Amino acid sequence: MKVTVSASIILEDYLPTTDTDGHNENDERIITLDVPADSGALDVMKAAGIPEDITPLISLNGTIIPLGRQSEQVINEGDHLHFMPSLKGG
Amino acid sequence: MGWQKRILRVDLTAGTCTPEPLNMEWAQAYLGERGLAAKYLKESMDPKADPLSPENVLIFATGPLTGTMASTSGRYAVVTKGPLTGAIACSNSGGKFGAELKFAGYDLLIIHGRAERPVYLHIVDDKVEIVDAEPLWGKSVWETERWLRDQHRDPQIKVASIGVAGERLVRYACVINDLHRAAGRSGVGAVMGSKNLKAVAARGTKGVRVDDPRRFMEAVSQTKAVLWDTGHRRGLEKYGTLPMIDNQHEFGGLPTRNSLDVQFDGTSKINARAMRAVGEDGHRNLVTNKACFGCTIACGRIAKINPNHYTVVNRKEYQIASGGLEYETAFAFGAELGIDDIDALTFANFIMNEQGMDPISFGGTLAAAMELYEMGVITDADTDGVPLRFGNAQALTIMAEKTGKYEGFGQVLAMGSKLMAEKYGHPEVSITIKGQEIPGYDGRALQGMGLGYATSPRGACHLKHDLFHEDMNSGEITGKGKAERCKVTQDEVAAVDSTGLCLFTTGAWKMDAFARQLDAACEGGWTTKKLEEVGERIFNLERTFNLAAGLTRADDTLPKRFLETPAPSGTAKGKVSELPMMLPAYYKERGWTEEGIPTNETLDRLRL
Ligand code: SF4
Repeated sequence: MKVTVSASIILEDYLPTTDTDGHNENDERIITLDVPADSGALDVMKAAGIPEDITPLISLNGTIIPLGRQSEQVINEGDHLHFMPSLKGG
Repeated sequence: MGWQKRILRVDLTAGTCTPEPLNMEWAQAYLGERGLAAKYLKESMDPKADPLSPENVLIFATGPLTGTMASTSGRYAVVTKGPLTGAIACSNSGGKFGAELKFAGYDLLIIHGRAERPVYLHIVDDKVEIVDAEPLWGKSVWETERWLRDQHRDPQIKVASIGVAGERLVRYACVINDLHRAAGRSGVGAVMGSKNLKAVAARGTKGVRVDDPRRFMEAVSQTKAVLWDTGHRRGLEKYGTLPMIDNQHEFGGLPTRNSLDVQFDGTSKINARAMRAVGEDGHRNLVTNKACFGCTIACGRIAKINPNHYTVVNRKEYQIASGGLEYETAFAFGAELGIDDIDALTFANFIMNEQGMDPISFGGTLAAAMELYEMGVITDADTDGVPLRFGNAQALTIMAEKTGKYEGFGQVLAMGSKLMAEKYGHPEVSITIKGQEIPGYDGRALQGMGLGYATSPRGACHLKHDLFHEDMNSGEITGKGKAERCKVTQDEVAAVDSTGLCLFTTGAWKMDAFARQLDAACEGGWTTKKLEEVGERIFNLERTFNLAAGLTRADDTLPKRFLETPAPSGTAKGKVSELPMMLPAYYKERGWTEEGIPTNETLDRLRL
């Protein structure tokens, strides 16, 4: 199934270049990934090249997925996932 | 070792400078920097003293690892009673000044009294002089640093000074060192101004000794390697702290338009990407990154304003590369004011550094003034004809200059938002805790952060606890479970703040990394357990200072807006802060009474 993926600036560096690259209104790259039908949010993250140890915030179609539920989050055809680094300080 | 085992006491009233041995019993109990300075402060003054009176004491404090080979070892703290809060103030800074003060042979510089006329302190190792600063009074931080280097013909001299804001007692004036590093919060610069102390210029040649050099270097190499190889470090190096603005916007925790909103639709124009973007005219805001002394992270931003921007056209002195936006400045001048002009934000940030003001408090105060203006409570007649509307970039840049020079409506903004809002009869527009303006996190979306704000010894502060992960990644907007983590992380942060190293290392290091480096550098058997105990002791010591100063449980609260008005959007939409549920649980975790007073048992356990 096809899903679209974008990432905030730090994580965007990890995304693969694809021939479907586009940009959203924030000028962040949007890529389309073809993932197996039973993929969850963490499978998409892996396919997007984002290292597992980063434990990012993931939003699914604009809603944050609770961290404890990332592993069981079901993904559907056409979903959009946005990855944000887990930050602190500032 | 680690410590120089010597402090310098300066009495500006008497005009004396006296070195004395460091109390090593206290060093073992309070470590250094924040903790040790809090102990010396408590023993040196009456906590009830007016913060701007000669009775207040101002301490520049290094930690045992300041100036060593450890990564991020450039940290020092300014500790005093804060005029913005009436509570103990501990403002931490980087740059190079702290290490230089240590190289001159002092762990702490303790300043008493008030000079009759403006003075500065010139320290070259054992030679310490109180020098007439009449030629410097009225000058900016930048002019002061230049003048002192020229005057002493020493380009290596390191300076911590105040600008006009500190001289004129702007309640959130800061101490700036190395041109753009700030001991920023709670008005420590106003305390310096009240003492007629313009600057401390330090030069040291003594170095820092450690107990077991071989073991220390092994510990330093290992911890540096761990730090180096993290996404956390790489992210800070490349993008600074600014990516947080996208996170908070997305999450719905970004204080916007004086916290009336929690998301700002202009973030893409002021975020890390915007800072790096090259415009059509070839201009790029970000010039490079910069590290404090000994730092292997280098999160600092050096930026340049577009020379065609209205703020700097015909003003060559600002067409320079200087300290750029970090998350807190971008939030305070951007989202909180509804402004998305990155050059205007950068200009206001330059002014903060030039005249020595805390951008978080200035932004928060201007945001409150903007709300008052939009409510019609103040008008152009009050604001020198400047329409203080949310989104008006010129209002930001004009008011930054006016406040920095203490002119016109800037004199009102200089009061801080609490006193200003009370003056106009609308205390509810002041988004402060203990009188200090909030940093860039909404206490409804980040519930643990709200508890941390309410219980931080220096009022609203995001750097006195560490609940970012629990608040943002747990998936539930709840106060449940936050009390225990708030206590634990407050104690850990108090310990780290007392080492001489930067809190930003905690993205990669756990407490054992600090303990290992300390144990190799200092006598006393520094273990993780001892560090945690020391952290808890420090936090409770600060609490006892505040209680003695007259603060009570009633000060451990949040702005009405967080407690009563539901978040309008984002992940926490419809939620208010659960502080009333969290606070009693937190007091219990701490071993404090229901009134927030440490019990005798707690004080005995901590040997306080
Ligand atoms: S991480 Fe940033 S603030 Fe901390 S010492 Fe390094 S450059 Fe300075």
